Amino acid sequence: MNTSPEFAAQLIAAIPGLRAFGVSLTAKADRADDLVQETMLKAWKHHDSFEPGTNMKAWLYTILRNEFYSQIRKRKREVEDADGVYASRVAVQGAQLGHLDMADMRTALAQLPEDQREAIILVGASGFTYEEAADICRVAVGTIKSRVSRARMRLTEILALNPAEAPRPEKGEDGSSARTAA
Amino acid sequence: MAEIHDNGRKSGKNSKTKAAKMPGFQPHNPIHDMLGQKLKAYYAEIASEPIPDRLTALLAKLEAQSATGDGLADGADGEER
Repeated sequence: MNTSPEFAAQLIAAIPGLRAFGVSLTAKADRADDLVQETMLKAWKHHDSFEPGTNMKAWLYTILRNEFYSQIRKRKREVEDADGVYASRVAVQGAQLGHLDMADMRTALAQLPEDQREAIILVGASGFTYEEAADICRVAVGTIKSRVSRARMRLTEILALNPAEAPRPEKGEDGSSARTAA
Repeated sequence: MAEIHDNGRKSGKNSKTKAAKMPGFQPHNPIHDMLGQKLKAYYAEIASEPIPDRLTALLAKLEAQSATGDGLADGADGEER
């Protein structure tokens, strides 16, 4: 059966986000591109199993994530090595991108356990809901919530985020709107 | 048909301090905002990189195969090491 142009268009549209997810998981751009490549091939091959009208982005992220973990299983030794030098590689890649903030975030993310890293990336950066992230990771919603919460605490610690340096809420013209929820 | 899981229907909804448990009711946390902004910026930065040629080439190949009704040929992942 042929794939529809719409399927291809949605696939193209998802590539930048998939790459960012891949880089977040692997901390390596070339490995991320391998993952995206595999994801595209698998998505294309199994496009029949995608139900039109459902969330294609979540479907693609699920494929990429599965691919990531199956590669890890295959290359166990390489992964052990990668874990050991993760932070230093991350620093190099960050520098290459030329932003101090980027390097900081990469290094910080690299220090999180894998399950927390993917949870905070899916919810905090990719824009998935807790429910979607739970589907992608095949765990309960509560599990994702607690992983995200722990990841937030760890990242706040690692990045030494300081409330005094937090940007003021934009809508707070009189400086009081931040408290309206209380 | 997939069943919809309604998370709100589980036990314990009745007695607990309801308002404090309501999603979106958390007091404003500037640190979370800050972290959220940094995470999104990090992600957006990677996502804004140009798509590597090999991926656009792969897509073109897949589309061409699909158009000719070939399905997925084995050579599609030519760059595998």
